[in-house]
Amino acid sequence: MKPKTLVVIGGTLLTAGCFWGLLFAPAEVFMGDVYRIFYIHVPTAWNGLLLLTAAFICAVMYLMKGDLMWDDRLEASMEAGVVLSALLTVQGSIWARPTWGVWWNWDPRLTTTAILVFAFAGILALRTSLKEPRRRAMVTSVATIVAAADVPLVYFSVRFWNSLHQIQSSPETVSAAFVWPLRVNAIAVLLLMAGLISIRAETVARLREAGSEPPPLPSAQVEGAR
Amino acid sequence: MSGEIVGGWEYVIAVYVISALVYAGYAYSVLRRDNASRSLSKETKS
Repeated sequence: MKPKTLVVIGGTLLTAGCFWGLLFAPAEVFMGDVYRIFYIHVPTAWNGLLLLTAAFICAVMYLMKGDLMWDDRLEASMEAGVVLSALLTVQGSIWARPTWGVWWNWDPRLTTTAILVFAFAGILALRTSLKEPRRRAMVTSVATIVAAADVPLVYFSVRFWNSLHQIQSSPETVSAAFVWPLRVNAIAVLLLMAGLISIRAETVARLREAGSEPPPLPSAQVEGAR
Repeated sequence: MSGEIVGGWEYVIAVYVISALVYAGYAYSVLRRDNASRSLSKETKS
């Protein structure tokens, strides 16, 4: 399937899932309508962590194979992962205000997520300062493997430490009426991001190849050589 | 106090609007940079 087709299907499904969650899913007993944030917050969180895990796999693959294709995929996955992680932090902060009474709390889940966003955004910033593709790929891969240690910490933080944040949602912990809009949005974000990452990885590869090619000879030099 | 949250639609709408802007904005940014890189690639080859 073409990446742009994935983007269109993902975007359409996400729009449908959001309307389902906003208009047709029932309100939750204690959180009322505020619970509707769950239908976009949780898929964003799942996919954000998945994308940063994909970046970690690309980093390991680059170090093992030495193929710059893995570095292109790493950049694409990490960029999308940082966007989703930053978005999930904002969504969570807005959800926290009516439920916890504060916009932000230095809770283990929130703190580890903030570290995640800054660590990976820092690696992306670092990439821009390194021009030589092999050196950039090596430095990024090592930094990604170090930063990825925070991904399981984010996921398990609600179980490792006492946390205001609720434990991970699953079909066992969520009512059946809430599960389907959640699943639709999770699949939608996955398809959307899969399409965007494919396009972005191709773009990164194209720019790298264009940058690594020698500049064309000036016409005068070519004529002189004849 | 029952412990129930009443209202809160303003928070829900804020989250969905911000999310829509970020998802759409990121998709637009990826597609725009892709088009720009195709043009650059063509220029480099020619």
